[in-house]
Amino acid sequence: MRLSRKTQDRDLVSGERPARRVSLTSVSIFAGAALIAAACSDDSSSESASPTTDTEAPAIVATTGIWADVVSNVACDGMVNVETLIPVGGDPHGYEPSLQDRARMENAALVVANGLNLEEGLIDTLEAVAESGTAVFEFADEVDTIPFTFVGGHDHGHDDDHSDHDDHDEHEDHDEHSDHDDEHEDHDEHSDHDDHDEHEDEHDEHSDHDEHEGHDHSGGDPHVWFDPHRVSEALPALARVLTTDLGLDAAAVQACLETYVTELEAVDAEISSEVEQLPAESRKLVTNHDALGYYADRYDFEVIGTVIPSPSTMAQTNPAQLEELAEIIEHEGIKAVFAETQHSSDDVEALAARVGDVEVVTLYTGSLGPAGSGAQTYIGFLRTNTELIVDALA
Amino acid sequence: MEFLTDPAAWWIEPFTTNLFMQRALYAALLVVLTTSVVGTWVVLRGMSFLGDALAHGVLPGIALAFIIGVHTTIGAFVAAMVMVWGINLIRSHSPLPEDTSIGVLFVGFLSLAVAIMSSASGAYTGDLNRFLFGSITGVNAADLRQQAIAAVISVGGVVVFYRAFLVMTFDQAQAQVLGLRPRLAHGVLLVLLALSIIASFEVVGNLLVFAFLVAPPATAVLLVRRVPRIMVVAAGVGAFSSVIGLLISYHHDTAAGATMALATVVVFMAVLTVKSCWSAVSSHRSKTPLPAQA
Repeated sequence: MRLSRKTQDRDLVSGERPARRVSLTSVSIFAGAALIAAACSDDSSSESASPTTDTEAPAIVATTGIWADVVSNVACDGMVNVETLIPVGGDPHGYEPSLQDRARMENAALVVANGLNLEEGLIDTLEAVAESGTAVFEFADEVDTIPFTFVGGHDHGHDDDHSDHDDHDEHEDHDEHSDHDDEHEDHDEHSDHDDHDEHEDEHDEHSDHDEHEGHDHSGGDPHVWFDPHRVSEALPALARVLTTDLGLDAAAVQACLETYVTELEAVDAEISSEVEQLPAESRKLVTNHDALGYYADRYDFEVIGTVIPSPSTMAQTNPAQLEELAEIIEHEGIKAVFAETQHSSDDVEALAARVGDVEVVTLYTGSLGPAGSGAQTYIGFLRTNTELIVDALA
Repeated sequence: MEFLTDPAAWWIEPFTTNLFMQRALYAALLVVLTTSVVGTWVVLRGMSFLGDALAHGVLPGIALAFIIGVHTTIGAFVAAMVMVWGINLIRSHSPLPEDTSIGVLFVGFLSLAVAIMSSASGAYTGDLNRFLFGSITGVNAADLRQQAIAAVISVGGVVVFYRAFLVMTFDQAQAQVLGLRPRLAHGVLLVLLALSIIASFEVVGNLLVFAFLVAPPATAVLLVRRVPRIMVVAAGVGAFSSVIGLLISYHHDTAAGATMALATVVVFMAVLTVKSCWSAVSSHRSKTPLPAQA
């Protein structure tokens, strides 16, 4: 009896030890194989993605596909090779660069970024690239920025009248930023965002924006591409960089620029007229994060709430603020809330489920859409989003 | 397989042709030196969990410093010290084991950081993101200077307190008898630990710095026995891992900080595999002539 137990024990021990070792070994082999796989795989793709594909045209690296598309339209007909860092569907807020990205930027004739801390994982990198002598063009530097339109789910108490917006065309005549307030004089509460302070009594922590500003650039909402008018205002500055720093032919760039600005103006007018089909009281947006401030500013929408109370996707919501938002949605009778392709829609879905009779519509926000989506160009992106918004709120 | 077929192009050229790769390399080597000498004691004394907790525990300090406009390094350091003090407080006022008190404050500090940042949502979170993931693609001369200072302090501290650390690690009671003041030595070690964590942010960020603190010294412990050798081998292993990580990120377009941290872990697993296969073979061989001692 004793003897048999002993042999049993020994069997157990001798049976167990190699088994444990095998599993440990296989785990480490797996890990080692992963490293080797990483070292061996996609050789081809790394070659095709290497910085110089065409030695003739200067290389430009743009952080997002949106800016890459805009740049290749201003330097049209293959005057430049434009590469995009952040892949389609990638979130510009959360993108972490590789050293290959750094090499691409270093070797580029020009780096085009959004700026205003949109590319959160690239802040130091963009600084270092500029320091190393590569020209860096940031769109947010060239436009009239607005503050974060909205923080938290509080009610602005808007029952103002948006009906007299027939004079919308006058936007095009105002190229100077300084005139900006005048063109909106009949709806001050949109153009003058300072009056947010009045509503922030119960949100004390949000009212002291000034303390944080000046830490990096001047603060402000970075999502400037949602207003094609602002973008077209920034294009002459880009064209200057293309001709002076990159030595592109000024007349050719000017021709491209004029064509593209005309296209952007056409889209701008098209969006305005589509939006005008919506009654003023329907022009209310509830978005996932605070990305549509410029769109709202340009086309007289009101962002009445964001699920993530932040201009970045790298933040979180909380139940009280979702509940508050749900109440606002019910109170205002809003038909749809907007998720975004680059970020989880769980919170938006939860909000819609809580309210009940609300559609969840997914917009393209920080990234262009894949080929065939209709949103694979900047202009397509604007059109597609407008269609989605107008259909959902009509 | 370019790293075998054309080794010069794969291994050397990225560093000779790119200033930013050189800077990244220097930054990585300084971080590795700092974390290896300190991490050796973390591994030997079984303080890994505390190390991980501290790496995250500095975040609320950074968040607060960021909001009130103090230098974030100061905030990080203060938060680390408060965390250590809190862990000792919980331990001395409760019957709970140390890992519980560490765990409670670990999650407490991490969530506090997120709460602080969310309450200041007028501020952009970009800077917090920078601390979470680091930015070895954006290292500048000032960063290198800061890391060099941290490396000098860590190595100097470990040399000066070497005997105290050694005795404290292997024989607490004797440390007391020898008048080596183990509590002071423990405190010094914690300060060095906080310093090495803070100094490493720029390279890998505090979500991943723990890899550098633990994996290279752990690999070294598999290979050698004496403490000074462990530190040297850990620095070598860490340097090798970070070079591999930098090169993979350069050639294969993977996120820089994460690739380096992953490389330290993969090197550890590879060494463990080779070592356990080796000892299996040798113990099998030694078993044949001699009966097993068990």
